[in-house]
Amino acid sequence: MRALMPWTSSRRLCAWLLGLCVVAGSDSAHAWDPVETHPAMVHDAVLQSSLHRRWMEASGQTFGIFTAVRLDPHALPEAIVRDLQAALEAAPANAGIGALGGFGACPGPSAPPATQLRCIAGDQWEASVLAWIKLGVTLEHTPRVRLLHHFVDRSDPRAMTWADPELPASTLRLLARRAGMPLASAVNRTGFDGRAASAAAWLRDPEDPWAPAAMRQHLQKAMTDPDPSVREHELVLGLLGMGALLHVIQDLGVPAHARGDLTAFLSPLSPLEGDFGLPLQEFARVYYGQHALPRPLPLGARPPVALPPTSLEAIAFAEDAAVQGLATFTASRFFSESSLPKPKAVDPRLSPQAAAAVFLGAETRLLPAETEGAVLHPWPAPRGYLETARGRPLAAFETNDAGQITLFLDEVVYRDQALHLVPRSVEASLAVLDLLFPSAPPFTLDRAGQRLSLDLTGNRSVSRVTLQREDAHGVRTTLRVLQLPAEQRLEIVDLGLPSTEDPIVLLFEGVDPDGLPWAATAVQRPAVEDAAASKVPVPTPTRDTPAAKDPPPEVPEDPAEASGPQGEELEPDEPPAAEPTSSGETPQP
Amino acid sequence: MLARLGTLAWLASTGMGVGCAPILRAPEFVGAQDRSTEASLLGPFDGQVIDATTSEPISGATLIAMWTYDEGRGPAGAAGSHVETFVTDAAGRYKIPAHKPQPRRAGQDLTRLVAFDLVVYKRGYVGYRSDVEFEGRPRHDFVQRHNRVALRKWRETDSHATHLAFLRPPAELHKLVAWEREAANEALYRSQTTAAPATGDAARPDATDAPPDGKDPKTVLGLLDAAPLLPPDEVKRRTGYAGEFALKDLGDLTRTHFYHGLHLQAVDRGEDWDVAIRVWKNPPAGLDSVEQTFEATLPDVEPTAELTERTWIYDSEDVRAVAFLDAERSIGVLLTCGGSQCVDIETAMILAKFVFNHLDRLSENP
Repeated sequence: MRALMPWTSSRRLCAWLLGLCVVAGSDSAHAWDPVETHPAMVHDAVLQSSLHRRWMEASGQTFGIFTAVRLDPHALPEAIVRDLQAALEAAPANAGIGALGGFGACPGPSAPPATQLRCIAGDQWEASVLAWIKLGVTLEHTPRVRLLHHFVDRSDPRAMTWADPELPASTLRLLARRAGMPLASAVNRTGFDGRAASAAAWLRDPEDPWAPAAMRQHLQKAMTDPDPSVREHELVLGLLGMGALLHVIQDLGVPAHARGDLTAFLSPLSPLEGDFGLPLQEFARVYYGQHALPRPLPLGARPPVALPPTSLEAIAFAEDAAVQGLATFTASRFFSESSLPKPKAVDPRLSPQAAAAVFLGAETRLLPAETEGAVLHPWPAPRGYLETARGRPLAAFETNDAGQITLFLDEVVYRDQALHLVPRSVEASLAVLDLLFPSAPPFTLDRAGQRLSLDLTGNRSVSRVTLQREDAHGVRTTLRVLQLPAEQRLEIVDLGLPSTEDPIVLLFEGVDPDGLPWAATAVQRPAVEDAAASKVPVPTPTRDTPAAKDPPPEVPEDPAEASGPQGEELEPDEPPAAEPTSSGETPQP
Repeated sequence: MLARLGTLAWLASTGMGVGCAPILRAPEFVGAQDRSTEASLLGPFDGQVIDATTSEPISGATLIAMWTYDEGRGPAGAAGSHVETFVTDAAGRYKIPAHKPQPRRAGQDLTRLVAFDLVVYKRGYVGYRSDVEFEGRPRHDFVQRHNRVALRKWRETDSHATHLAFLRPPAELHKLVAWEREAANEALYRSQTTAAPATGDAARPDATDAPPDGKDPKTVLGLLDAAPLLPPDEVKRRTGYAGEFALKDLGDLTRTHFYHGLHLQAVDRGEDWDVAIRVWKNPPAGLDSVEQTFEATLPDVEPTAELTERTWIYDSEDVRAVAFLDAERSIGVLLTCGGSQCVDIETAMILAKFVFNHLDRLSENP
């Protein structure tokens, strides 16, 4: 087992306590640390996800998260190159984030070997898949004004904008300006002026080059383009977008973000002038570092139910009591500093429960499960904790001489928040990864019999499947394009595939519940093929179990369903359908 | 009012302070082994790299020194790392001069130097990080002056996936570790497809910890078997439960030669009728790591001497839990029991005592 709370260094503890002494009883705030905690959460999520397994199975064991892949800056718009250069400059190397190459990295051929270490041919950037994803995390806060779309509205998490009523607009403008908002935007007030686009809006943003819409386009091209170098280039852009998305999603596991509380970010971390920041961020960085994120074991005997990767919206904002989205879970169970109830005088003769109820009105927006049975403990007392019925500290309290009680967040509360929210944020990241890289539907391809059996009864809508031949250089040639009905098992006969020893790639395409296109590929290789002979380092994510190991699809009892509709053939160059095809549009067998 | 004071203080710091040095955070390491030397993230740093087995110096080892910054008053972002590369001399020694932080550029927000990390890499050996050990434990022996880096020779059973995940190699090591990538992909895939859970635990150093003789732990050491500690019939005798249990492994942590999690799942009942037991015996990271797990699992529960010297008791309506450490036998046990199966904490304690009294039944299965 790895240590969970590695603060045995007294210096480390003192460093934290110094900050805590300053912030205790005053405003403070928290988000995950961009140098250690965010990259560590992404690192852990990628290693725990099925991403690697799917890619390895689809690529003949040649492509995984440690594979180095390249991005060609010459093929990028200037603005994107600038974004990437800024992110590479800001990237924390100690988290394994960075890339070799780029403009000017290659000195002349006569230069000493030592100066060639960062050189990659053609000015390309090169890094491992894992490092590209983590660079996306840095990209998402470069410049830091991008952090403004990591918040949600206090009263409506799905609202397209959010505001912090605690701060005057002038302060917010100054803060945004310091965080890198262009001066012109500050002057003409087109930038952040107390109301900004929310995380919910960013998830749907069609313009931001790193938002999910653009990322899905890149991932789509990474699957569909016939040219392996284009697929690799597009994959890297998709990986960067994935890192950016994970950053935004993980921030929704921070109460200040989930409660639209920017005021909470203006807290002194030390007595040093200007040293303002985020106490829980500092807490998580100091206590957990990169290598010991909390992994509390479930108290119940059965493991917790994982978030179903149905849509980004659901992962972030689902309000189902059984499976809450991350923002909903965070906002409804934890306080942020500026959304704490105001100080109040409390009669010491009240019971501990009644005293707690004084603070826990509907305006707290906490779930009844957190507030019912809550107590002040100990009570009456000069200081203690506002605890849930299960003993979880929601806030600390302090009583002044006049009997007025002030709530605040301290180390004990931060520890509780981190222990719940860090693993929850990693879990949400896992759900995102599984959503972005779906498995292909179960299928059986019988080359000799020219027969393809598909099981499309999963929760993803597949609108078409393309059969491609992949040559030894990774170049794919389309053989057949079949329009498919949704939600059915079907068998397609007389495929008319040419006789070939090359691998056959099945490219599945559709539209996901977020309304965005998705693609997944699976590769079927001839049984006698030497897998090493056609290694091409381009991912072709596939189903968990490769086709060769798949049992044949279950034969339905309904004879009509057993024969299934035959797919409609399209022209190879026809663009993918924007919507899944209804069964009525599909020719019957 | 407090919010307003905080905001006023923030506004008072509006001077951009061009030319000011960054704020220095306190280092996590000490100056020297005797702790009398003052430590600073800036350095300088020096030490020697040696072979852990022979104590012979290792020359030509690559050292990557990284000083990492963040920036911002308010929302903070990463502000890059200053990275320098060094190579050990014939005596395995290295000297890293003190870092001189750059003054802030015009328009740049306040910066903080938040970390110094040292990564050592030499092919044929397990690498070194100044903040964590290969086995996943936080490193506490890194010192600024006269540091000793003992590299262990690479074993065939070591996992390249674990190694690269541990090293988090910066770009400066990218080419040096390139030869490991393919093997790392294969190792991670193997661990994800052969281990029972797909949780990634197999990729963690502790889960692939190899025995000193370099043999496969699953074939040589066997797997810990916790089943004899708490047979279902013994549970039923003590709780009065008339139904049946289905015995399963808890899937969230990989079963190893030092860990087994067993799930007694009540058939046709809710999880409030379930019982689970997690057992660690001779864990490679020591009982401290198990204790930290208990503390994380049972927050705000103070240990008592109820069953052993270190016993944690958690009581709630939904679930009751008893955890204890047996230092003499190097065993840690965490027993959880649903609120319907264990109607009170005393019932859970009775089960825990039964487990404690039968710890000698703990065995390994091949």
